[in-house]
Amino acid sequence: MTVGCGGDKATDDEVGDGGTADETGTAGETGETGSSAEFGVEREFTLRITDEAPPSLSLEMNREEVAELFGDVASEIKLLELDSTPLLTNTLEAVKHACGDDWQNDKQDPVFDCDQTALGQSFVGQSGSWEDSAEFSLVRILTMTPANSVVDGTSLDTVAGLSNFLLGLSGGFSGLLASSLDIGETVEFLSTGHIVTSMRKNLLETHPEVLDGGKLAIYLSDALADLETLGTRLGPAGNHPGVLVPDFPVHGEVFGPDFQMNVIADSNLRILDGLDLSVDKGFITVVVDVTGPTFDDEAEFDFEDPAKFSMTGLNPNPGLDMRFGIQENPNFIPACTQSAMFCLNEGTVWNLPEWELEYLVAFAGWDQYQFLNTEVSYFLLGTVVDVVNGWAGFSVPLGIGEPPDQHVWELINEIAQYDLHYLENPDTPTFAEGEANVEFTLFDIPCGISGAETAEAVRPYLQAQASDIAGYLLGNYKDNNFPVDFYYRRADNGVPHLFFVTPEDMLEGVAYGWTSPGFFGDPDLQDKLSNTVLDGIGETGHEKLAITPGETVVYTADDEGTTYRLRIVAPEGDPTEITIFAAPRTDG
Amino acid sequence: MNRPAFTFTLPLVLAFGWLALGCVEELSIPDEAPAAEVAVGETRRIELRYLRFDVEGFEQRLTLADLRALPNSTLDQLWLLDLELTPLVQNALTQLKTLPADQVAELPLAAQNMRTLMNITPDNVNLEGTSLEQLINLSAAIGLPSAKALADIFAIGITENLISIEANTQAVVEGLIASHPATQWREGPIDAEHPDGKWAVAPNSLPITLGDVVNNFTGLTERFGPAETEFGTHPGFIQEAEGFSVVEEEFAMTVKVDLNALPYKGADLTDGSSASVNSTGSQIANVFPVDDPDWMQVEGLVPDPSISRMTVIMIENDEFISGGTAMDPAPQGNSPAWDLPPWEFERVVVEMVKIATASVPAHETTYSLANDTPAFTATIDENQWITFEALEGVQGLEIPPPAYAWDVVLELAQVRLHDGGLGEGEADIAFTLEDVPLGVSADAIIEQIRDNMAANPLALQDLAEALTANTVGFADFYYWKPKPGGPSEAEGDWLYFVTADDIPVDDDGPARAYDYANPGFFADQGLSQKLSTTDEDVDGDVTHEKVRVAPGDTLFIEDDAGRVYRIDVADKASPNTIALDVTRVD
Repeated sequence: MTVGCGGDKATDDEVGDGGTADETGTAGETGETGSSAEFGVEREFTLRITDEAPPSLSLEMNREEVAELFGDVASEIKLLELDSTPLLTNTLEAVKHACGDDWQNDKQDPVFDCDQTALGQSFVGQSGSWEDSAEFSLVRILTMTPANSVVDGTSLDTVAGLSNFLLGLSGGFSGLLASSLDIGETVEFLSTGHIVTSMRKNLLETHPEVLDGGKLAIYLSDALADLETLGTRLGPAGNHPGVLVPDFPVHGEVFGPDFQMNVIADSNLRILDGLDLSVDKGFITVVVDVTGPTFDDEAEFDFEDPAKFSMTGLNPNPGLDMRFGIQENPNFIPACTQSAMFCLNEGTVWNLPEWELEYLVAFAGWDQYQFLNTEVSYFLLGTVVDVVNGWAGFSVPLGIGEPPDQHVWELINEIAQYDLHYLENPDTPTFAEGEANVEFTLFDIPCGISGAETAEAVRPYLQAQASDIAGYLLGNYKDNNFPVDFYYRRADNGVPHLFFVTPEDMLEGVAYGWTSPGFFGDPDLQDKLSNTVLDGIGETGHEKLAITPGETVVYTADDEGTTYRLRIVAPEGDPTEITIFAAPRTDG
Repeated sequence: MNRPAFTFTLPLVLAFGWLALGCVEELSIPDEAPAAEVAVGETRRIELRYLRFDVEGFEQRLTLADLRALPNSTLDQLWLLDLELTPLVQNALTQLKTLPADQVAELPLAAQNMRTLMNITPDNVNLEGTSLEQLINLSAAIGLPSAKALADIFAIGITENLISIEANTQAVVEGLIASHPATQWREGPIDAEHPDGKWAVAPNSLPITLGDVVNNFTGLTERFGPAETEFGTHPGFIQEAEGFSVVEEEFAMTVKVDLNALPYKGADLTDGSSASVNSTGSQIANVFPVDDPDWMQVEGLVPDPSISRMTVIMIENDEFISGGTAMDPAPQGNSPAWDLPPWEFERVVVEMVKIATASVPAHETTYSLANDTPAFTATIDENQWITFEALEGVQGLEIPPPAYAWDVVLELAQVRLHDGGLGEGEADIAFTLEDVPLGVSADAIIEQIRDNMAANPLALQDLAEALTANTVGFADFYYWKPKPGGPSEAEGDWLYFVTADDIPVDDDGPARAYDYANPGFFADQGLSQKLSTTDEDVDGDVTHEKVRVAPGDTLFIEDDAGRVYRIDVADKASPNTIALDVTRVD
C-alpha cells in the first residue's frame, strides 16, 4: 500500500524542518470577518463527548478495607442509635449478682461471696479483699430488700428496733417496710428497671455524647474500633465525670472476623474535555445527578436496597467490655423532711449533680414510688406508716424515736448512704464521705441488639446520610480539574455545546479571571454568539454554544485576556468528537 | 608463462592518467611484434628510462558519466561515508505518524495499528483489554481524568506522545537496523588493523560507496534484505526503495592532486619487454593535499536528498509476549521480549519504552478521595519500576502487578497492534512511504566524504589507478629514482619488485594473478640470500621489495612463472636511464 507524504501539516518530529506538533501553518492570517485582526499559529485539539456513565463502583470490603475507604470520616458516619436500656439493664443485673444470689432469700443477713464471679473478684478494698470494697457496698445497696435492710444510723433506726419488738409476730420491720413500699420482703427496694431509668436519664443523658432517650450514637469508626472509641467518647466531659472510666480499654466486637460490607454506588461525576487555550487540552469534572431526591450528589447510594448495600459477618450477639463508674457526693445527704411539696422540688438531693450516686438513688426511688399510696396499720398500734404519693408519715407509740415525715426515696437514699459507708462496724465508717466512689469492670455485657438486627438497623441511618457520604468520598472532584476556559458536553436537550466556565465550575477559593465569558462572532468580542439562556435548555448558568456540523469560526478570550480564534470542525451527525484549531490574536 | 601480445599504444590521457595534461604531446610507441620468450641461457639487454612529471594542485573533475564508465568493482569498493540512518528513519516514522486520515485508511491494518501506537498520548490512549483498564474505570468513577493519571505516571503532558518520536526512532534504528549485518561491517582494504578487510560501520549507519551514489542506490534493498545473523535470519528492513534523489545528472567530483603523473618503466622478464607500472599507488599517501580545504569538491548533489518511495518492514513475534513480572534481572526485568531478536516488534517496543522512560524521574502519584483516603497510587522508581496501589475491595478491579514501564506498555502495544481482529503473528508491519527525506543535507554528506577521504586517501587508490589506467604490459619489476632534492640516502637507481597493488583491476578482477613465489631480488640463483627489502622507507614506500643498484651489480630474480633470471647492471647511458642484461638461468 502506498501512501503519500503527510500533507502540509508541519511537525517538529520531522528531521530537518521546523514547526510545532499539532500546529498548522496559518501564522499571520487575518480574521475572516473583515477585521484586520491578526492571529498566530493554530494549534489543533480534539474534544470528545463520552456518553457512557462510569461503571458502577461495586465494593465488597472487609473490615480493613472499610476502614481504608472511609478513613477519618468513619467517625462522621452514624450507623445507628443504640438504646442504652438493655445495656444498662444487663449491666445492673450483672452487678447485682456479682456477689451471689443469697440476697434474694428472706434472710436478715444474706451471705455475699464476691469470689463467685469474675466481676466480684475485681472488687478490691483497702484490705485487698472485696469485703471492704466500695463496689461491694454498692452491690449491697442494689440488693437491699425489706428482708435484709439495715437501717442502723438512719432515721428509721428507732422504728426498726421498736417495730421488731412490737411487731415480732407480724413480720417485724421487714414486713413493715414491705408493706409500706408495697413490695415483697425479698424484693429490692429499687428495682433494676427504675435504677436503669435513673441512670439513663441522669448519668447518660447528661453526658454530651449521649442522645435524648439515653441513646448512644454508634458511628462506623466505633464499630471498626470494636467500640474502643466509646471509652473516650463516654469518658469525662466538662463537669461530667463520664459514664465510662477512661483508663479501661472498652471492647465490643460488632464486626466479626468475616465481616463484609457490600456497596454498589453509581458515580454522578462526569469528566469532560475542555481547553485551556494558553496551555493545552484539559479536563473538568462536573456532577450530573438526575436521580434525586437531591440533585447535587457526587454519587448515588441506596442503602435501603439489599442488592446495593448489605453487611454480613456481624457478631451475632455483640457484648461490651467496659468499666463504668459512679461517684458519690462528698457529703452525707440527709432526707428532706420539710414538706412533701417542698422536698419534691427543693430537696437537697435534687440540687446535686444528676450523675452523683445520691441523686441517682433518689431519682430511682422517686421514679418507682412517686405514686405510692400505702397505709400500714397494726392492731392496737393503729396506723404506723401512711404513705401518700411517696410521702411517708410515721406514727410511733409515744412518739419515741418517731422519724420525721419524708419521701420514701429520701428514706431509701439515707439507708443507701449509710450502707455504702458502713460495711462492718456500725460505729466506724469503712469509707469517709466522698470516698465511696465505685467502678465496675464488666466483660461481654450484651449490648441488647443482635448482629442481624444491626445489619438492618443501619439502613435508614446510612440512607439519611447518603448525600453526605458521597460528599465525604468524592466531594473533592474539582481538585483534579484543569483551569479550562470552556468544555464540551451535551446540554440537557442532548445537543453538544461548548460551555464557557463559570465560577461554580472552579475550585473553591480560586478567582474567576474571565472578563468576557462566552463565544463571539468577531475578534473584538462584541457580537456574542453564545447565550446563557437557550430554548429547550433548562440550564442557565453557562454561556453555551451549540456545535453544528462543518466548520464554525468563533472568537473567545481566556482568563489571561488573550483573544483566540477558534475554528471548530464537527462531523456530520452526532458530533461526539470535534476538532478545534485555536490561534491567538497577535495584534494586541 | 605465455602471455598475450600487448599493444603499447598509450594515448596521453593514459600516459598521464586522469590528470589529462593537455601540455604534453601524445607519446606514440610503435607497435612491436611480440617478442619470443627468453630462453634458458639467453641474455637480453633492457634499457629503462625514469620519466618524471610532477604536478601540483592539479584539479581533476569527474562527471557522472566519467564515474559510470569506471569498473563497478572500483566504484563499489570506494567507501564514501557511513550515512547515519536515524534522520531517515525518524522522517519515515514521522511521515507514518502524521499521515492524513484518508491515507491511513488505505494502509494495511497492522500499519494502521502501528501508527496508532506511535500517536498514543494519555489523552487518546485506549486501554481496553489491558491490565490498566479497570484502574482507569476506577479513576473515572472518582472523577479523576485517566489521561491526567497516565500523564502523571509517565511525567508527560496529556497530549504528549507516550513514546516520543525520538525514542521510537532510536529503538527502530538500534533494533531493526543496527542488527543487520550490512550496517555493521563493510568491505575495505586489508591492513594490519583489518586483516580480513572488514571495517566496522559507524553505529546506526548505512555504508555508502561511490557505486551507490553513481548508480542511484540500486541494490540497496538487496543489501538490506534478509540476512543471517547470530540471532537467526534478519528479515531485513527495507523491502523496497526506489527513486533516490541524491545525485543530479550534473554530479561531478573534483579533486586536487600533487604527484608524479607518469608511470614507472619496468620489464616483463618473460620476454624481456618493456612495461609500465601505474605510479599513483606508490604515491597515494601524498597525492591529495588534504590540508587544502578545497582538495575535494562535490557538486550536483540534491540539496536535501530523499527517497521517493520506500517500504519499511517490521515483523512481530508469532506469540503474545508477556511483560515482565520481576525486577530481576536488573535493570530490565524478565520479560521474554528481551530474549527476542532485536528486530522483532515486541523487542523494539520494550526498547523504545525503555528509551522513552529513561528520563522519567522517580516519583509517586497519589489521588485521594475527599476524605484523604488514597484511591489510586502509582509509584515509579529510578529504574522505571512501577508499583500500583488502589482501593481494596473494588469488584472487578485487579490491581496491575508491579512492573517496569516497558512491561506495561508492551502489553498495551501488543493489544493495540492487534486491534481489528488481527491474530498473533498476523500483524507484521509493512508501510510504504513516499518522498522521505534522508535527513542529511548534501553539504553534510560532502563534508563527511571529504573528511573520510582525507583520513584514508588509500581508499582512492583504485579509483585513481582506474582513471589513469596507464599500466601497460606485465612488469615484474620497475625502475625508480627519488624525487630530486630528496634525502641523500635515497639517491641512486632503485629496482622495485611489483606488488599485487600494482596490478590493475577491472570488473573481472585483477588483470593478472599475482603468482610470485619469491618476490624480491636475491644474491644467488637459489634465491636464498635476499638483497632487497620492504623495510627501507624510500620516499614513503614500505610495501615494495626494493634494492639500490649500480653498474656491475648482479642480482637474481624469479618471475611469476617460476623462472629465474640473473640481472647484470650495465653502465648507464644517461642519468635517468639504466641498462640491464637479463639472462635466464633456470
